[in-house]
Amino acid sequence: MTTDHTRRGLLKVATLAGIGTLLLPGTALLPVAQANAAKASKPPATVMVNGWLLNASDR
Amino acid sequence: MYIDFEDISEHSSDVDVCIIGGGAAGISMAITLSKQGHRVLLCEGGDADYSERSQDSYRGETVGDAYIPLYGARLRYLGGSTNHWGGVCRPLDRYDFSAKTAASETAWPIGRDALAPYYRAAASMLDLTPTPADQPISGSGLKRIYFSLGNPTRLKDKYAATLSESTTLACCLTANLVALKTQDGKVTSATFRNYQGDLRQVQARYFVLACGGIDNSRLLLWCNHQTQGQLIPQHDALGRYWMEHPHATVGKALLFNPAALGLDDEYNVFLSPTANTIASRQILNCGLRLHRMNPEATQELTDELAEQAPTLAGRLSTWQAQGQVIHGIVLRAAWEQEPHYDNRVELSDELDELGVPRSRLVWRQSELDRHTIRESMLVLGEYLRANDLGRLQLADWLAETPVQLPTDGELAGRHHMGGTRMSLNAEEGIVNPDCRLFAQDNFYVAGSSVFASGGHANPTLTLVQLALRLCDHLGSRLAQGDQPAAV
Repeated sequence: MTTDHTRRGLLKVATLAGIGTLLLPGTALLPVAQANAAKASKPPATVMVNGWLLNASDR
Repeated sequence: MYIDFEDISEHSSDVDVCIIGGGAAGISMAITLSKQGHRVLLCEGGDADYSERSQDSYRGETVGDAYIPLYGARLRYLGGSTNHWGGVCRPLDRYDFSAKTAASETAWPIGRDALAPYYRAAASMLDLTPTPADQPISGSGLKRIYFSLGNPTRLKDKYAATLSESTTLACCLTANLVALKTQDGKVTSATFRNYQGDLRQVQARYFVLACGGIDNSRLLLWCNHQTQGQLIPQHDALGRYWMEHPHATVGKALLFNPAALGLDDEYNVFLSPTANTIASRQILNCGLRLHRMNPEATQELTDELAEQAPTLAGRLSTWQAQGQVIHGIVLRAAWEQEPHYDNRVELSDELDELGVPRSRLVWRQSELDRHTIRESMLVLGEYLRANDLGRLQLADWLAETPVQLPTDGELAGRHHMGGTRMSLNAEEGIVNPDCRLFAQDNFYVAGSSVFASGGHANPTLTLVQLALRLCDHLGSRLAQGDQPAAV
């Protein structure tokens, strides 16, 4: 089957690429930014000490 | 009007409905039906006031987890346990009537909409105060809930004039049910006994058993035994699926922002998991009760937390120096129990003074029951911690898994539910959605014993709603001149 190079097919590819750009801001491609984003979205670790539900940073 | 035990048979020849038991369900029905002009006979086994000779029939055994002695968990005289209840009321949640993700047995054959029309009348009968609508707490998985509090109506006092003066309602004290006769799918007579050993038979078009969440099962087990199973031919579920609301002190917490839970305005706040939380956490329903500590106890708890969390302690000191109020709270809880076939009322080998076998209650909390309370506390604790609104401490018995239940303290709410479970078919329950015994056309059961599941809310409002719904059903049959038919 040959690749569909019709105008409609090209438009579809371009649109999907556009959505991808919107979903993935350029800075997300940088390794440092990715690391920071992961850090920000990760909830603080929970620890239970003598029944207390604490953040690890509480100690 | 009151009638003497000696006259009960003669009086019963013209009775539309004989109600057996004068507690919350029985009195609600007697007052309602008699006001509608129906001829009602209310048979109460106890006296007008507390008496040891009556209360003695409530002695029984308990097997399984630690539980309150059956003798002291209820009252056996006119007014029943409304003579000592606390008046705390709340309707069941809508999702309490449906199958929960963690236990499909929680499903009722009717929905909350079937009881909603009776809310206003039941609230009026119990003198409930209006409560605000539940308020979800954004991002917490919890909602703030409200109870009607602090107005424990004593039904025998509230309706004293009607009980003594009504011409359509006859009330007979010391009339204890000891046997039922059945023929062709109808109960033809009920036999009552007084404390002198005299026996009298009562015939009525309809009978309603309203003797409470343990004795409804006990009396049906005994009567079914005497009729060689003719009363309830399919009796596998009789006495089974018995439930309580386990109660306990479940932990403590320090709140850095009490307003987030509404605790700055009120001393006590009630929380409950939302429907989504119940589904996603695979738990049953639960009511968490937050009671504010005094400043001294709060400081002690703050010091205790500081030992475990020195970094946090530094922040707390700074906040307190800046004038921020930190509230300590004690957490108590009442939680839903899984309807479990093995939890049951059965007959003991010992007879009471009336010749009826005493109750033996077999009751244990399941893994799901234990999971429900621990997980509910974790939901609150995680919300407080993740949003830096406070820190929560689980009670010792709840912190470790497997959870080891307390063997003293509150234990349970004295909320006796199940045993004559409502169901769509006789294989899975004892009464149909009209609260009628499957095999008897004219015999009904009223009270929390028909609950298919119990949510976490105190049961009295729901059982009165059910009782008033049953009044409508009976009123309709009586108005149509409906003669009980063979089943």
